[in-house]
Amino acid sequence: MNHHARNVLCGCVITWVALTTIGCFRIAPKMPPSLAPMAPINYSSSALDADVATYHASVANHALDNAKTQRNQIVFRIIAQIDAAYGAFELNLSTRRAGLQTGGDAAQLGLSAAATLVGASDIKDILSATSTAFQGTRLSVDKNFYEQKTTESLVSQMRASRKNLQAQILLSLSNRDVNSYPLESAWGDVVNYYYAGTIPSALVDIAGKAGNDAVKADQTLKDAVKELTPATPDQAKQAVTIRSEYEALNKAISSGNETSVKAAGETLARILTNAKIQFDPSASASNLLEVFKQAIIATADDNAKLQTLDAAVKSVASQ
Amino acid sequence: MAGTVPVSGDLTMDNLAATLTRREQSAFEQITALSIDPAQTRNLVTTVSQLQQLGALSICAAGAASQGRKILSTTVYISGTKTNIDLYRLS
Repeated sequence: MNHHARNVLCGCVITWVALTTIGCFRIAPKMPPSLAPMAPINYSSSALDADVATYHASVANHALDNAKTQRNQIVFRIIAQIDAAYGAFELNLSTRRAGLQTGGDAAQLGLSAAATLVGASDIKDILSATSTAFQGTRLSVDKNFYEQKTTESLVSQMRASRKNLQAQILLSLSNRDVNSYPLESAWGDVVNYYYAGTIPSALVDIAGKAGNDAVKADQTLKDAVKELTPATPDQAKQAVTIRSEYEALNKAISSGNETSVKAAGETLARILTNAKIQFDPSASASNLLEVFKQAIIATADDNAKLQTLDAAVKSVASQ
Repeated sequence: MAGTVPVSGDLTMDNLAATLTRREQSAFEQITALSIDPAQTRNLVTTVSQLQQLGALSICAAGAASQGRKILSTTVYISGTKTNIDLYRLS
């Protein structure tokens, strides 16, 4: 064996040892034999056909209670099969994905080590290119199959979606008769329940959830800003008093009577002064009324301003 | 200013009426609808612009007699509980 061949062999041995080490780990206990074959919940197509025929016969004979029981049994048996298959799938997903990633790491390390050891540049280039290809393929699988989501987030989403759908199905089976929730409707829900435990469904749900969360957070923020300030009966009376004064002054200014307009202007100036609101002393009564109106609007969500303006209006009225 | 705005569902009848009255008087608005928010334990109040001064509002349990003029009957959250109410305008 020449020098180059020996070095390449060393790299391959490193890779092989790393890869075989992966097989030494278990991530779940061994399944009891009674659970392993899923025998008690094995639901063959012929058994399903027979149950569906019995269900339809009960519906035709108006034996609705019997039909409901048969509908529920059919659905529960299918759900049990889906659950068993999902459990195996979830375990397999975690194991295989971690295994593939670790295997990829090991192969890459082995190839890099071999590339370092060999002297010939052409073999070194081949080994380096192969190492790069391994890394690229692994990233591509992560990107295209899993959208770069972690296994934990995918499993978590699948579990949440399945639980939501299972709760809906159980509620419908319990509360609804076969008229409002026939086997065909339940069947549609069960199909959705199956798909809720798949990676494409989890990816769609995660993307949708992120969008919904953003919209909800935005709406919550807007609502928090917009929500009306709770008032007490006393504050309502203050608002009524201020508006009554506004109406009286508005009526006086709208009358066009010079004396009334002048008196209204003077009253407005005193109110605004007492409330410490800035205004142009040379402004017309109409302009002062507009300043007063804006001050009233400012009290809508501000208790302090409401109290100050109320006190100003009352102090002028008492003079 | 006018539009649909949320208001707390934890208020008593008196405080809800006071909140709506204050809104009408201070913001130059008139209430046109009051309902529960289907998404949360709170109420939604809809108003339109209104320059004329309106009387204060009063709320009582549905069917109970009150002074003033009944302007709407609805279901709202009062102290966190769904309650059927009548909304009256005093004077």
